[in-house]
Amino acid sequence: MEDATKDHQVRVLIAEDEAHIRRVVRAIVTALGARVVGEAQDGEEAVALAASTRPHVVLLDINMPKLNGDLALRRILEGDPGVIAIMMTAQDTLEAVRTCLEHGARDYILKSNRAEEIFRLLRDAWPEYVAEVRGREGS
Amino acid sequence: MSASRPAVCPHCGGRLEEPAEGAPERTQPVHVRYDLEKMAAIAEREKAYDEGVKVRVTQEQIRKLVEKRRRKSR
Repeated sequence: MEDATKDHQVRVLIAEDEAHIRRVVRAIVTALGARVVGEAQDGEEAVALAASTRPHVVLLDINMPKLNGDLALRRILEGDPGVIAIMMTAQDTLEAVRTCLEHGARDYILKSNRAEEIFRLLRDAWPEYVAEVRGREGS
Repeated sequence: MSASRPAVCPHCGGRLEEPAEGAPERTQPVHVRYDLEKMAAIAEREKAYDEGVKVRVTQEQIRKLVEKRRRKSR
């Protein structure tokens, strides 16, 4: 029964070098019904975990050690173009946001938002992600 | 040093030498030739690190940008 439930959950990979942000994001996506399949503390680990855990959604911090989020995004999407990538950053320029969106990121969340706002942003977009994942897996 | 002559160059900040004994005081401004290519290279290099001049994006701006891209892709 538990395995069947897991099969229907959206699989999420969190790539974030700050542990307290990882905890917040994990709590949010778990509350949305997703299953966290991996947590990476740097960009290289994110790319490796994306390849091994095959997540549907990746929440990627921009400023990470070893490999920044933008480069990690490109490598992850090279491995699986269907991954829904959501970038996270403390603060950035519109140009940086535009670049990530051009590289395939689906959305961009500022970590400077309060946790409630981050929850609201993810909750509002989540049904669309779930529908996309279901559609892809059903096809 | 006379009061009319600054101790440092007003352009580059370099220390000015004392005028020779008996030399006439310069009354006309010194015309400095700038290497514009060098300055442009410095400006370009420093721009990449000068966080202060960047305009920070807001979540509302991101929302509009994402929405615009989504409409385009439909």
